[in-house]
Amino acid sequence: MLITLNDVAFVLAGLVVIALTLRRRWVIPPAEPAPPASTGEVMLTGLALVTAAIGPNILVVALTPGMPGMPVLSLWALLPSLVLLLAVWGLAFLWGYERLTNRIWTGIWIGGASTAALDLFRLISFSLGLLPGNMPRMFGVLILDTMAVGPTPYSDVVGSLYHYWVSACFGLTYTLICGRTRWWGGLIWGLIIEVGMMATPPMVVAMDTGYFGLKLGKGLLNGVFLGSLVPHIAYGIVLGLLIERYVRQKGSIVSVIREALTTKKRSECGPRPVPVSGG
Amino acid sequence: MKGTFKTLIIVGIVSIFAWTMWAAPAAAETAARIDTVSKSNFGKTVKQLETAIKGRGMMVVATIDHQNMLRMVGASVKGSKTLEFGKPDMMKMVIPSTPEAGLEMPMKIYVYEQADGKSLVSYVKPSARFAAYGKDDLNMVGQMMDKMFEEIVTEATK
Repeated sequence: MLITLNDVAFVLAGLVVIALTLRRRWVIPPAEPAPPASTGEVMLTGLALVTAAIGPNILVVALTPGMPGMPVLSLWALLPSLVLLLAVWGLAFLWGYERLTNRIWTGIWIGGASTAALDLFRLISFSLGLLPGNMPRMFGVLILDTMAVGPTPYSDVVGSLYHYWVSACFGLTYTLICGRTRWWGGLIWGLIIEVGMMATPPMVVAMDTGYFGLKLGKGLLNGVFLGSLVPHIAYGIVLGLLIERYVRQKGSIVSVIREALTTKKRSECGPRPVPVSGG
Repeated sequence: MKGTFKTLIIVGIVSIFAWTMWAAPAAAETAARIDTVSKSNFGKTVKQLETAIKGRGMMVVATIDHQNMLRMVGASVKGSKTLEFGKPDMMKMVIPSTPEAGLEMPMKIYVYEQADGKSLVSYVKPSARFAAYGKDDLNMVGQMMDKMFEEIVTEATK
């Protein structure tokens, strides 16, 4: 079977999460006022961004000639990045960086869940023969180094987990950098990811499609480009719809850094503001 | 009339030349490649092949499942596996004396299922592979391996 039960199960689980969470907050709640920023929060945000970059980039590195393969990178880069992200989240929670904990957690689950929308269209594209391969199945055999025997149910689960984690990383990157935005912010992000995917080694070299699938002929109307553009548009829209409902505060990373620097300068120049106690 | 006769002779010579060019390597390939129809189904044939290989103290170093691999890229084919196998003392007979023959190691046997459901076990005779190196000792090893391959395949296709 070209589409496996594993593919279907992951999509169904994700779609259920999307449906339930959209239903729960169908009306967009107003943004909460931003808490004061600090240097600590900025540092932890930076660390979280590093961990978010590792997930997708190990594949790019692994498929670049002369670089270590996925089994090595998964063990020595991906797993440590998960531990580091957990540590960052724990510290943010302990130190009361409510905005950061919300952005980390929300970015991960929203990014992961939105993958189901992407996969729904990706699997259709794959079944129609537009895409050259069932990528999560390939991720599985690459991570477990079992290319010779091909995919197994276990490698399929591993591959799908990686695929969903990569999308979670993209969701995390977005919430950490942009914070709460309108739904079309997610759509733009989905298109940026599409451009990245069409111009990096996993597709260009490993799948031999050339940049934007141009090697296949028909210009930009080729199956690979269109077959992955539609899934990424779906991913972006769902990501955006969930972001405007679940990310609590507005404000990009730039405004957080600016505020943290201003607060630091103020505290260096003058007395700290005395908190007003109520009652 | 004379012109027609001349043309016929030229066509005849060219045809004979072309046939010898085409037929010579084809005949060699036929002699070197052995395809044996199995009495068992695909899965059982592969299992019997593994047992036969291991029964001779050799290791299956890799099993390449073409059918399963192709599913990832949306292609659906019938059973198709390559078993690569060998053992260090077999390599010892080949590589120390002729390092360039390392290309032929490990040995491999291909099992595949036809459209009619019949399974075939195929290999290229080791003697034919080793003949290209033009060494007597290697030819002897090749002939010895031919016999072993024959036994393995007989056992696998029963």
